[in-house]
Amino acid sequence: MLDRHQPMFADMVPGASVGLVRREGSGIQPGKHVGGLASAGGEIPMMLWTVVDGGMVASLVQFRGLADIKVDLLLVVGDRAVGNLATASAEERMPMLKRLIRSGDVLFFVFRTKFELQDAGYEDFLDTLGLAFLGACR
Amino acid sequence: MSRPGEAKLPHLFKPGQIGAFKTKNMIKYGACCVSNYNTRDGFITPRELARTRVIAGTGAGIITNQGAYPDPLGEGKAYFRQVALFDDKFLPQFETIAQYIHDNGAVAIQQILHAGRYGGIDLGYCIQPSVVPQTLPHFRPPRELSKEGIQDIVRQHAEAAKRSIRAGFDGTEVTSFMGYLLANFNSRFTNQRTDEYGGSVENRGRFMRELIDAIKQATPEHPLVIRLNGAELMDRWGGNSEDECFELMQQAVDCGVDMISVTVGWQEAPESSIGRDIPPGHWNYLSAKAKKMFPNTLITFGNRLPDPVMANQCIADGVFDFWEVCRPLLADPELIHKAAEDRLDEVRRCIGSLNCLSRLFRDLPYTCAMNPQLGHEVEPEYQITPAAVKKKIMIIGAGPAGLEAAITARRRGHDVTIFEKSDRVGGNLHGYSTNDLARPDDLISVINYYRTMIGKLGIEVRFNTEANAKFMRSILHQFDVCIIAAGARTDLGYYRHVPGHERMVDALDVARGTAKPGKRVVMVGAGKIGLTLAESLAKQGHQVTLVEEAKSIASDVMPSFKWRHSAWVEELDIKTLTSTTLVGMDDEGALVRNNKGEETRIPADTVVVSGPRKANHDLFNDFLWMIDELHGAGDAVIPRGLDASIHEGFRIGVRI
Ligand SMILES: Cc1cc2nc3c(=O)[nH]c(=O)nc-3n(C[C@H](O)[C@H](O)[C@H](O)COP(=O)(O)OP(=O)(O)OC[C@H]3O[C@@H](n4cnc5c(N)ncnc54)[C@H](O)[C@@H]3O)c2cc1C
Ligand SMILES: Cc1cc2nc3c(=O)[nH]c(=O)nc-3n(C[C@H](O)[C@H](O)[C@H](O)COP(=O)(O)O)c2cc1C
Ligand code: SF4
Repeated sequence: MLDRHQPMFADMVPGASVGLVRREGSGIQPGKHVGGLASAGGEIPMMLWTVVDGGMVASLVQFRGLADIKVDLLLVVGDRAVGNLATASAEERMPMLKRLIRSGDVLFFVFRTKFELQDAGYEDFLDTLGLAFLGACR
Repeated sequence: MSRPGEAKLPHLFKPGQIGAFKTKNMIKYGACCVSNYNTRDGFITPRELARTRVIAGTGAGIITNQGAYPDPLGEGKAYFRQVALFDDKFLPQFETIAQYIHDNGAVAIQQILHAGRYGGIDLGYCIQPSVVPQTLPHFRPPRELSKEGIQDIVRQHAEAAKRSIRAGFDGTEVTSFMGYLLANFNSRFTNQRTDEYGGSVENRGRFMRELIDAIKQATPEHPLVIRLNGAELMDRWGGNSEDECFELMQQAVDCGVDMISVTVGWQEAPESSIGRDIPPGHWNYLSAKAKKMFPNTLITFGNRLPDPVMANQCIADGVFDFWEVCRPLLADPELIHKAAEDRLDEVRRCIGSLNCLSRLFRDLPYTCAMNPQLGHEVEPEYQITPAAVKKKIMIIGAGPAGLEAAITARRRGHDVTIFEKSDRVGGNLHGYSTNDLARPDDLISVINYYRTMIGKLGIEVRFNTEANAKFMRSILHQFDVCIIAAGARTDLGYYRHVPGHERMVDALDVARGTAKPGKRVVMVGAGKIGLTLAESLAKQGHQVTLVEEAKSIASDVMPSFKWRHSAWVEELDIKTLTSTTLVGMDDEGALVRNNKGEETRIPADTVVVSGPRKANHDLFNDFLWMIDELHGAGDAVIPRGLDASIHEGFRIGVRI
């Protein structure tokens, strides 16, 4: 999905990485993240996009809980959202992802500081997703 | 009630009481003063003192001083130059502030602000009840608080409260507002603990109850205010429901707090709580609910409630006891006095632009779009004092920059005439307000304010008068000073080389209503003007495609409002092509090319161009040898926006 939107990653440094897991099975539930914090209660697949020289590669790895996570950003996608994203056309997916983040159907966590993300070139990417890069009393 | 406006707003101006302390009215200046004016290690500076002196003089019956962090490590510190209160070494300046407040006959409350999830700005981590990763990159990775850590924090709050009272404050306040530590314990989202501090609402509220007990024991004679959300707007993230918020308020009431300040929202909440898109009074129902549930506890409220008349009615209707007002007093520190003197038409309203908070989050000192003096109170150069030499000043352009320069210079005793080529005041702010989806009323209030002040100060405006070299020759030697505030125009010449360019329509004409686009519109330029217009047209039923040369849209939009434009673009189904330039136009529409060289034809009836903009500089050269002093202000110098125009107009007016 993200690999179809290469221009969004144009500024990102090699090694920058974004993960995506399904909420179901991840232990990450609204108001009950504790399962996801400790462990996923087993291993579930995580889609991982990593920036490499000249592009972005997608791979499938194991998600073992938030404590153990090695990505810069993690998208946690609810069942309904997975369905919506799967059936959307490539063109529709990015706007849809934005909407799903805003509606809470896709949760979003960051594991790097603002400066680390800025240095890694994430500002545009996060703006594109409609996320406030800087704090957001609004 | 001796002043004429007080009788008209009797509920607002009646005396009140908090704890043993009498208040002169029912207005509380809410802690709206984290300012980033102080030293990096938490000491209050002369700049801050000058600012708080203005705050103390606003006329509010209760004044809350800005949130100070209570711990020596700075885990509670959220802002770059936030003030600290973890040691007696900070006391002298707090004593001065308490004194300023008392000198103005108000009750002084010191806020203690431990930012929890949003804290640790100098540390690279933050502390929370549980490790719940951040959803905004601005904040730092979390660490879980131990039970000993919790007890330390409770003790630090009690000590900070004692210290506040020693400094001369009458009471203290703890804030959970916008997702700080107290909110983190109360919330289901961030409190995942399995010990007695987590789980049920009862357990999650334990930290708050211990905090209240400790502060009450440390300062038994002094009122304690607690700021608690009526709605977190975090339900989708698993935050508290409204019912849970009110259960937590009940706990605070049962612990004997003297006042609850009802607030709304977390910083991470995906929707607005206090922005321009929220209509004034929108959240009043939360306060009404609190007042109904807790009739014997003082309730104070004011989020996005900028109007004293509305506030007076709310008190009459039992929505709250005290009006807690923040940003409206940043925009106009004289607001309460103007209301008391029945001069509400002279109020400079807060337009909810959030320039103030945007700056705090960039670690900059805060300023206010509407009040150019804010933050400069300590500088004599920013004070309106009688001019040493009275001059005849001509101002070209009755936009915000020209109007601000005019009223400032007039207040200093200069003789001012404005020359305006159209038939009304307001300049491009008209087009902005007509097309704004957030809240046109706020922007129109800015024009109304200027119109009122022009009238009251007796400033002459010559409408339908275009200033140019010929005109200048006709009035030669009649003026000492000329201020060019003629704004900016769309640089249509930029597209000279584009085939079919003569078909382009200027966005400013569309904004003014002098050009009417067809059903299908291509808007070239997705900065603030292009976006505002595109959104407005889409709302009216046009099919709009945005074409932007840069990689992303909204590059000239204030950080705290970018998301709002992105959301509108999505909601209104506006197609956006970035890294794309206009390469041709014909009967069928527009031809555009992306950065890979791929060309696309976009069917359109009208191609509207909103950028780049070009300052109306030409007049500078024309007038150079015709007048003693020549100055520029606002978009006529460099095209920017409303705030820069107002600020620059003021800076010129105050200097001449
Ligand atoms: C649709 C739209 C959306 C906008 N959105 C935003 C936004 O989101 N944020 C923001 O900050 N700003 C926004 N703006 C821009 C904002 O309105 C301007 O930056 C602001 O009005 C500039 O003020 P000014 O006084 O410098 O110039 P202007 O408001 O342009 O006023 C200049 C005045 O000078 C007059 N004039 C020009 N030449 C002459 C002459 N030769 N003789 C006599 N009079 C003359 C003009 O008629 C005009 O009244 C928007 C504008 C538009 C149109
Ligand atoms: C510049 C600024 C600083 C603020 N500082 C604090 C603070 O120190 N503590 C706090 O609880 N709220 C703070 N707030 C929030 C305000 O107290 C208030 O709740 C909010 O601005 C909404 O009210 P209003 O619409 O009257 O401005 C601040 C707000 C602004 C704009
Ligand atoms: S900057 Fe904007 S939101 Fe803040 S006080 Fe001023 S007008 Fe209000």
